[in-house]
Amino acid sequence: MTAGANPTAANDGGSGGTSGDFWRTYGTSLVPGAYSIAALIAWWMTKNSPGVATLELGTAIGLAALAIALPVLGFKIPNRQDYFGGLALILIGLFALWASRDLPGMRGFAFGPGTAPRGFAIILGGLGVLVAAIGIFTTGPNVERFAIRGPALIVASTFVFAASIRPLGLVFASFVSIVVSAFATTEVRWLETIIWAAVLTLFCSLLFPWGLNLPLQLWPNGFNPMQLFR
Amino acid sequence: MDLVANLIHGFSVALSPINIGLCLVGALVGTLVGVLPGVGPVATIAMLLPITFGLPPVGALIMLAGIYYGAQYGGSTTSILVNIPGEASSVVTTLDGHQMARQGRAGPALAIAAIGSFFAGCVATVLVAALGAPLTVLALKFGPAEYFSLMVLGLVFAVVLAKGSIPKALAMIMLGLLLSMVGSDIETGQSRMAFDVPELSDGVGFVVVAMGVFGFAEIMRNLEMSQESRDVVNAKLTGLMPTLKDLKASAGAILRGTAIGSILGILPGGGAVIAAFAAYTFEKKMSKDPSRFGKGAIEGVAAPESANNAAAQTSFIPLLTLGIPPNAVMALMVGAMTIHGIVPGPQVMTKQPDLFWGMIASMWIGNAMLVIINLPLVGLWVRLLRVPYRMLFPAILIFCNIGNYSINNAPFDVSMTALFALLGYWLLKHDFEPAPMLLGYVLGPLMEENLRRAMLIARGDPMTFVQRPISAGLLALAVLLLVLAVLPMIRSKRNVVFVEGEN
Repeated sequence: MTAGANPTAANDGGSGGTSGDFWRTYGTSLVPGAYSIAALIAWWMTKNSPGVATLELGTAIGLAALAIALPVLGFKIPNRQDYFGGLALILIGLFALWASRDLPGMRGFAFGPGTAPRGFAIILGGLGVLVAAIGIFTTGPNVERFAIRGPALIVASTFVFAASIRPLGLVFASFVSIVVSAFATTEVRWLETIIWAAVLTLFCSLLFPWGLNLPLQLWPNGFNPMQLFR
Repeated sequence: MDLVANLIHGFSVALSPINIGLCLVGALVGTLVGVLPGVGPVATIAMLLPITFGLPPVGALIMLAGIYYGAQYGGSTTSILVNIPGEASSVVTTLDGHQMARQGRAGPALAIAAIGSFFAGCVATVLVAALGAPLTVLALKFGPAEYFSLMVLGLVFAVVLAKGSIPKALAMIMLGLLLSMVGSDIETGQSRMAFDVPELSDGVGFVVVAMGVFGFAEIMRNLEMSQESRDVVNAKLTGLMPTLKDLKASAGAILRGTAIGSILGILPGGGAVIAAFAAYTFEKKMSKDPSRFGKGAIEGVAAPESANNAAAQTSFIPLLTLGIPPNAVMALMVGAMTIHGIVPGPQVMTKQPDLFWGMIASMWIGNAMLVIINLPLVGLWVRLLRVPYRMLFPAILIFCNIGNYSINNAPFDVSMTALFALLGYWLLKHDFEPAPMLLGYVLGPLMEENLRRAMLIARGDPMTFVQRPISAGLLALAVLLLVLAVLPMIRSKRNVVFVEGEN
């Protein structure tokens, strides 16, 4: 799903730089072009359900036509926020169609496991077409700038926590992930961060395993600094 | 008589020392988190859900309800003191509330918000108790077709009342429904869209979606604005209590706000938000001197605060009786109930009277507690608001991560939350409202199941939905609402295109 975010995120590659101009001019074609290729791949991989395959092929052709028509007609998208948003919805719908391609559909009048996901995916894709059309035919805001630092470091800190909680235990995992997350803002200060992370780690190590009685391991296996004082 | 007996039973459950304690802790923690700028009730509940998992179901739900009221009240506190609404339903409170605070009347503004909320809470509690039983009887007559149609109506309400574009809100519902399909099919057990990932065989965790899209994405958003200086009222809070004149001026506003809120809260969709707006507008129209509004009129605080609290409470009615969450907060409640093995719906009242009536009674207690704990603690909240965001957000983040991990002891869930945070951030940037998505996500499995059953009973004839009178009525209402909402939009969009063509 987040794959849909990337092409638009690249939109703000630079303000006024060449890459920014490039995206402003060709981004509205490149994105549906890329999605069209994704739809073609989905179509090629769908072997068991002809209906779904036809739909995927149709979407691929539609998206390709859009990608070609825009520069040919010299049309500038007036509402890029909805345009890219709608296209991403189409991509998500396509992804769901592809992901549920091998699930059996209707058997007589009984729903199969694939019926509802496929139905929702098709409606979502349809709404995506509608939202993108609104983006083409009405004026609206451009896509807001995507910040990189904040989201990237918050995700990184969460990943660090997920990766280290099992092998390293709560104390190390929280301390490191707090320090990483603190860098999500430019206002970060080293000393304050270290002290604050230590305080928070102590608080969490007391609150969660003891206060709330959750079964969390505090230290790595076979390591317990408390033994030093025994 | 039944009602009184039931309420007494409820109070006997809710007044047990443990449950009072849980309600108190819930209200306190809820306010504490709700006061943090930019953290609304949905994010608060999503963050605090894990701490209730170790509790017995009744206690857990009482605590969650306490968290909800606390968060709601915390939102009002920030609106008045900092001019940052903690959530959509207290946006209107900023208009007059913050003006009052600037004139040195933050105390009376906060007090009247608490008093209004308390009164509204009392009325709404009785209403929930009174309407619970008859609606439950009605709900037990519903078949799968009726249930499906009711859910469609609920979702349409959510779309119509949501702010912003209708196609986008509809798309968000579909995205939620689609997300809920991940995991194992209920009937055949076949794995759907799970890519043989064992952690996904049970579906994407509810907390994962809610915490990622609401909690984390909100932090990412707030980080972009962190440089902006916050306008915390620095004046010392003197004279907490409102004067007799204030009370007289706001009595009518509280009554009208309560009435408007109670009615709008039952309707699915962003009940509390609409209620606050409607009550404020109504009060302004009623007033002899409308120009006072926006300049610190106490009615402008009393009416929306009463309305949003009444609505927050009556929105429990569809959840407890029909099992259908009318808004995102109630969707979270469904998630919490499911985790405790309770299937929300009409059978809750008959099979678990302790839970049903205990929760209703605890609503009243929770409201009373807000008045008692919050007025003396205002000073503390003000101090908390001065803590810089660069220190707050790592704390919020680590609490979320630990809580999230502790649910299943699954690092996978924690990582998935980060991905959903990116999705949520993307949705914010493209102006998609995430609340309908959460609603769709919760209703998805229920809708599929009822649709399947209805179709099986009708031997595959989709006409069953329009041939059964109740179902047909509900669907007709849904279509009517949608048409009414879409028509003016198309007209205005056409105008836009037209204007452009001329240029």
